[in-house]
Amino acid sequence: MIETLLIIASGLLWILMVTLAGAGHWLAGLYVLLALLLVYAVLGTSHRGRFDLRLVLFPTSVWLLSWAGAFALGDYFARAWGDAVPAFTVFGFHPSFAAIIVLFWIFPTLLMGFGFDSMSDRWLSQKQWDDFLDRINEETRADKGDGEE
Amino acid sequence: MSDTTRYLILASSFAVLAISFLIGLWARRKVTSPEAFIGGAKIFGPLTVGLATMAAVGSAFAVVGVPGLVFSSGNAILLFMFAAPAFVFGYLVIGKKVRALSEIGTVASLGDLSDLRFNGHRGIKLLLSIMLFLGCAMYLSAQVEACAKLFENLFDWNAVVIAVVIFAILIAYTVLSGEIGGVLTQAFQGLVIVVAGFIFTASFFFVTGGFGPVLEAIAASESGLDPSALTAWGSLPGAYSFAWILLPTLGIMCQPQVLTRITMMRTPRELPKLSLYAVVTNMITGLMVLSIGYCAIYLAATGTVTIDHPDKAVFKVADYLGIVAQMFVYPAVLAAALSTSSLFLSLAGTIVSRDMPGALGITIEPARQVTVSRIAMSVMGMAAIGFAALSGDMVAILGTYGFGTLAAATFPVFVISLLWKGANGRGVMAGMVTALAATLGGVGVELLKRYGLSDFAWPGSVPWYVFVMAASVVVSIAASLLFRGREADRLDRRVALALDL
Repeated sequence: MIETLLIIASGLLWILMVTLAGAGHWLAGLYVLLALLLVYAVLGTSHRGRFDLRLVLFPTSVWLLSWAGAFALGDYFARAWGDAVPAFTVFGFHPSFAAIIVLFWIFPTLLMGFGFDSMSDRWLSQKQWDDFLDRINEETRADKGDGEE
Repeated sequence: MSDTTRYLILASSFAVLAISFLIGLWARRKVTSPEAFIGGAKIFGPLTVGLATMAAVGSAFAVVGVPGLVFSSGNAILLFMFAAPAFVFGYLVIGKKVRALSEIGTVASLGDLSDLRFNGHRGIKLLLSIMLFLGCAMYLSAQVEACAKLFENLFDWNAVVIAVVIFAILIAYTVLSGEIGGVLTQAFQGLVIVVAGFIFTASFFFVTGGFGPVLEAIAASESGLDPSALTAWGSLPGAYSFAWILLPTLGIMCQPQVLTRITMMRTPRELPKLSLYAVVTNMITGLMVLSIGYCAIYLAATGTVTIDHPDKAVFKVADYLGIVAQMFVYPAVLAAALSTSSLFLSLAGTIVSRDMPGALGITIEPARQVTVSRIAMSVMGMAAIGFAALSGDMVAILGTYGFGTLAAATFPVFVISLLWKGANGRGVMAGMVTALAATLGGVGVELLKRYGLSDFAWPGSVPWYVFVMAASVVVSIAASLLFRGREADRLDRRVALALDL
């Protein structure tokens, strides 16, 4: 039931996101995208009907917050100088793009890469995988048994 | 450029082709069954698959198209390249479920996965095959365009002849060893791209002194270059930034380059390592692409080099940087084009030999599937050359069209339906019909605009494929809710276990 509600929410977020972008509010559409990713992140942690919110919290939520910061700062500094050359640079980049480099690219990429690796047992332990394979074999044997009967 | 330099570059580029061919030849011994040829071998570790996936996702779109768009319109397209966390997100959200499905039955193609999830629903498989085929044609055309641009820049050769020669070699090694050779050659090609990335980035810093001088050059020059190009959103309408963030973020996880490789992993427990290797190598490629684009802007702004077409930016920059950069950048472009092409040729072969006949109720013996697949790959390669010659679009634009079409086709089948047990055959079928109709409509409108027969503008300047993706997802969900409760949609118990993992 919760999964269905979440998937309905995701459909509504898709509609909202594309409508906002189509109406010219593309930046607002990007923030809606983050909410949509959060919904998929929650659904992706579902294990036998239960969600692992710790896995959602780290690393996914930190990544999404970082992207929200990148969008906000990127847009702020882009508007601050418009079509003019900026008064200062960060690592040689326009401050608007520097926010993207740090908060959209390098930090969240490393965070997600190493963060996911550090949570690998929580995501899928050897026991969970072995249990899954055992149950698949049991079901297959049961099906064959039914067929023979 | 001297003749010696030209032939050295040619030799280094053909070395990539020759080594790829030899790897393909060697990989034949690992093809132990028709399923293994098509993609059913679960034998690879995370490093091999990580490099192969990065190379196949990156493609000529990344190495040629992205720097070209950076040069012509600024930073917006880099958002596409920098959305690397989405790689990890995809594995985290659906990776283990996809891999788990391949324990339930033979999974050698995306059609096999669809069969398992939707109890052999032929309509979904047929529409998936058609959409994947369309996406393959667009993606392959982008690779053909990139190869043609590479050699056009070196020699005054005919673009079609160049594409035929390169694709003949590519088809030869792909038909020899199928997907096993495909993964191994793509891993090698990924390595070439990574090495080129290091060398090019070092050369960039040596020539320009860093990223700061690029901005200074634009400020000081009278070249008319737009300083807003170097903001986060570049100089295109903001809707492009929106699309170029959304597309990879939601699209990477359901790209065939990612899905087919997940099913070929030894164990899903290695997916976190795979995602780490994929994103780290992707970051190196991203740094290279950023450097090429910025170097092109710098050289044009200072009047050092004239770049008459965005797709030539990478080659003009390499030529300026000298022989060392040239001997790595040209092969890297070829490697990027080959890696993606071999994957999509294999995919096209699998669709024609396995998925499409299955959807139409035609049974082809596994041994004959290999022969049919080989013929289909050859035909598809030739068709892509023809499509590229006719379309004449920029590499990056063709690449985004292909990416969008594939995402619209696969998102309902492989994301919505793996995250939600309530997704059913009729619902997803309705979503797929919508995706196909909307894709044909979108491409049709773009063609009409190209020939001046329409001045239709998409709302908010948002690219058409975003609307296609949204429509297919929303219709899949709504129709699944509407048609719920049918006995035929009841999940196989083992599939339910895989979705619960």
